Amino acid sequence: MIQIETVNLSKSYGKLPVLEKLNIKLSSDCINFIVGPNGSGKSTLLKCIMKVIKYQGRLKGNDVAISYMPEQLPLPDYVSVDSFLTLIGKIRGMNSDEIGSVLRYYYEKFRLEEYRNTNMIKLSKGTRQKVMLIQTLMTEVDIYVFDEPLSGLDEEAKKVFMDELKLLKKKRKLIIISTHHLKNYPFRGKRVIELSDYFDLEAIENELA
Amino acid sequence: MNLLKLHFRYLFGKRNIILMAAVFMIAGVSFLLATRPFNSHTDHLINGKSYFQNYFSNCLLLTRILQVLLLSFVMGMSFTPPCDSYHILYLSYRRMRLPYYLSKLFLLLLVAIFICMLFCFLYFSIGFLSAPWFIFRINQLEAFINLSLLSLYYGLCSSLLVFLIKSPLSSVIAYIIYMTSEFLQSLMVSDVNTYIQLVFPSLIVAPEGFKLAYGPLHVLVLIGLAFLLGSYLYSRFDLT
Repeated sequence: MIQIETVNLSKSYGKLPVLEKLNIKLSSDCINFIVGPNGSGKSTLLKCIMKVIKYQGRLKGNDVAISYMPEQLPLPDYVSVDSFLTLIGKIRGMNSDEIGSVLRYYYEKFRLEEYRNTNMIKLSKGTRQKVMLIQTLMTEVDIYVFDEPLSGLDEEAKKVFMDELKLLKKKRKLIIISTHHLKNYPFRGKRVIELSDYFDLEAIENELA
Repeated sequence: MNLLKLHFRYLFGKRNIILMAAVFMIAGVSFLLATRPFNSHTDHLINGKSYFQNYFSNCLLLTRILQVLLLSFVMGMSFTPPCDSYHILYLSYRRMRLPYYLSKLFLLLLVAIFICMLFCFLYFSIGFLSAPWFIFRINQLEAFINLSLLSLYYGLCSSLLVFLIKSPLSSVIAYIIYMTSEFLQSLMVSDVNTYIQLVFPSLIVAPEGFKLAYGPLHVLVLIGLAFLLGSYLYSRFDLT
C-alpha cells in the first residue's frame, strides 16, 4: 500500500502559521480528500507534499514521482495542445510511441481531437482544464494529486474524470484531491481530511499588529 | 533538451518576441539616424572623423540603456511567480530543483548572449553599410563586449532580486543600481567609486576607450558568484 504520512508538519509564512503540527495519513486504500475553508492550508499541504516549499516536521513517503494538477497554472499561449503534452511526456521520460497512444486515448475520452493542433491561447477555460487533467493522468506514477480538478469542467468531462479516478483506485494508486465541494465526488469509502482547525489569517494579522 | 524547450515555450511567447523585436527596431533606427544618412557625401568626407566618434558614443550610450534594461527585464521577469509557476510540472515529478534552475538560467544566458550579439551586430553592420567613414576598431568591439558582461551581471542580479522579493517591479532595482553606478562614475567621486565598482561595476571612460574598472575577469567572477548565490537560493527557498 502506498502511503504518505505527516508527523507534526508545520508551515508558517513569516509569522503567520498556516499548518501547525499536522499528523495525517493518506493511503491508497481509498481516495483521499483534503477539504477546508479558504486559508486552512490545503494548497500549502499539497506544496509540502510536492516539496516545493520548506516545512517543519516530517513527511514520509513523498520521495517519489508525483503527478500533480495545480488549481491554476498558466499554459504557454502559443503552443498547441499536442506539442505541449508531448513535451511534458518527454520530460517525464516517456517515449514517442507511449506518448502517442496515451494522448490518443485521452483526446478521445475528453473529446479533444479537434483541439490537438490549437494553440492554448484559443482554448476555453474548460478545455484548458482538460489539458491540465491530461498532463496529470498521462504519466504512470504511484501518487496523483489534484487541486480542485472539477473547476470549469462540463458534466461529460466530469464523468470521464470520475471514471479515470475509479481506474486509478483500482490500480491501487494513491489519490489526493483538494476540494471545497466534497459532494461532487460520489465515492464510497473515501478518506476526508478536514483542515477545519484553520487559522483566520485576518484575525492573526490583527493580533500581530 | 526537452527541459530547455519547456522553458523556452513558457518564457518566450509571441508577445515577448514581438517586444524584443520592437526594442531592436528602435535601436536599429536610432543607430541608422546616428550615421547622419541625410547629410551630403562631401559633409561626410570633411567631418568623417568626428561623425565616427559621435556615432560610436551615441550608439554605445543607447545600448548601455536598452541592453541592460532589456536583460534586467527579461531575466527578472522569468522568475516572477506567474512566470515561474510551471516549475511544478517538472519538480512534482523529478524532485530536483537544481537541474530545473540551471537549465532555465542556461537558456536565459543563451538569450542574453544573443541579445548582446545582436546589438553589436547592429552597430557594426549599420556603420559599415551606411557610413562612408566607418572602420572597424577593436576597442569599440571591446567596449561592446564589456557592456555585454555588465548586462549579463545585472540581468542575473535582477533575477535574484525578483526571486527574493517576488515582485516584477524588483527587476527595475537592478537597472536602477546600474544607472546609479554609471551616474556616480560620471561624477568621478573616486574614493566611493572604488568600492562601488567592486560590487556594481559600470563602463569607465579611459583614453583608450570604454573599460571596466577591474577588468572583464572581475565581472566574470561577479557573474559566477551571482550564479552560485542564485543556485543556493533557488534550492533553499520556497517556490511559489
